[in-house]
Amino acid sequence: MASHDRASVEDHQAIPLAAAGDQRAFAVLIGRYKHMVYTVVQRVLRNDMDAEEASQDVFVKAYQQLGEFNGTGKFSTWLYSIAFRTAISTLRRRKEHPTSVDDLASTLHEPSDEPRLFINDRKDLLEWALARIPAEDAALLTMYHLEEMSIEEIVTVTELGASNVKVRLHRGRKKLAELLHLHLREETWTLSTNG
Amino acid sequence: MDAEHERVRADDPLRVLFHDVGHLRGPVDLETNVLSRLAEHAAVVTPAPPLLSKRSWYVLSAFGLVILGLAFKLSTPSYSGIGTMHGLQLPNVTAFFNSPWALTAMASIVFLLALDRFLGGLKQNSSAI
Repeated sequence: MASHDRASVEDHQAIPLAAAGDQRAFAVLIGRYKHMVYTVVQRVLRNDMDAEEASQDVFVKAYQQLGEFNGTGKFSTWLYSIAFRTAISTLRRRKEHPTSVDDLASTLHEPSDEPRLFINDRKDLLEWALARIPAEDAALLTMYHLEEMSIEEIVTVTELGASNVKVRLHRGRKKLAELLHLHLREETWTLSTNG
Repeated sequence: MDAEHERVRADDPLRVLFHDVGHLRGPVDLETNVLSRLAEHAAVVTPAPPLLSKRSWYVLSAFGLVILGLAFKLSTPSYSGIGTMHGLQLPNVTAFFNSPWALTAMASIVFLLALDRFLGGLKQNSSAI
């Protein structure tokens, strides 16, 4: 892999090399998919340190299981399923055995739906709203809207039933829309009273 | 998914918002941290298939049983009539199966192959976790 430009190496070239133990080829895959993995893991765990550690776990597991990736499906979907399962199991472990004050606090009370003023941009607004719906639903909405996965792909990744996925997506979308409207209405009210 | 569904999905304000925001930025040193962890924990686990497949086990077991049965029959004093069949030399066959070295060698082969199969199963289970 010495002379390869990172961007020019396709997944189908890098995967067999990485599976054969070429760590530079695997570094190319990490660089390509780390934001995708971090996004889903962070939206489930909602904690930067946990998300960083879980992202590392995801890639270590992926490296160890690369020999089992048969290449019939998309690599991103395969990786996404490892990321989702890792995030969910970390979340469950954290709820069962809270190790920090933050963990304990998050198990004791969910974030309130009260509109938060002074959200600077759309990113903060989306993260604020996603943090107020169940973690699994936030991940499902990310898969559907950002990764543009089909219901079938989401079923493969999450191992949930198709009807369950549809219900969760519908519920999540509805709640997210309510939260965003709530925030925007509050923002409009603030602007009108200040103006 | 039909074209109409795709069009509706493309115009969805939530989809637009998700795409505007895009992915969260993963840690810059993620590659380094993962590679150093891999260096600590060693190599890729590619489960090696057992030397003998299940089918081979059945075939070999059946063959072994036939041989043992035959040897047992041939070694019994009351048995007669098959000695000339298939050019088998009775004294050699019975002597071979009566030898502790031959029995130990066969038992060792069976034991090692069974161990290989057992360890192969363990590896596959652990890599699936």
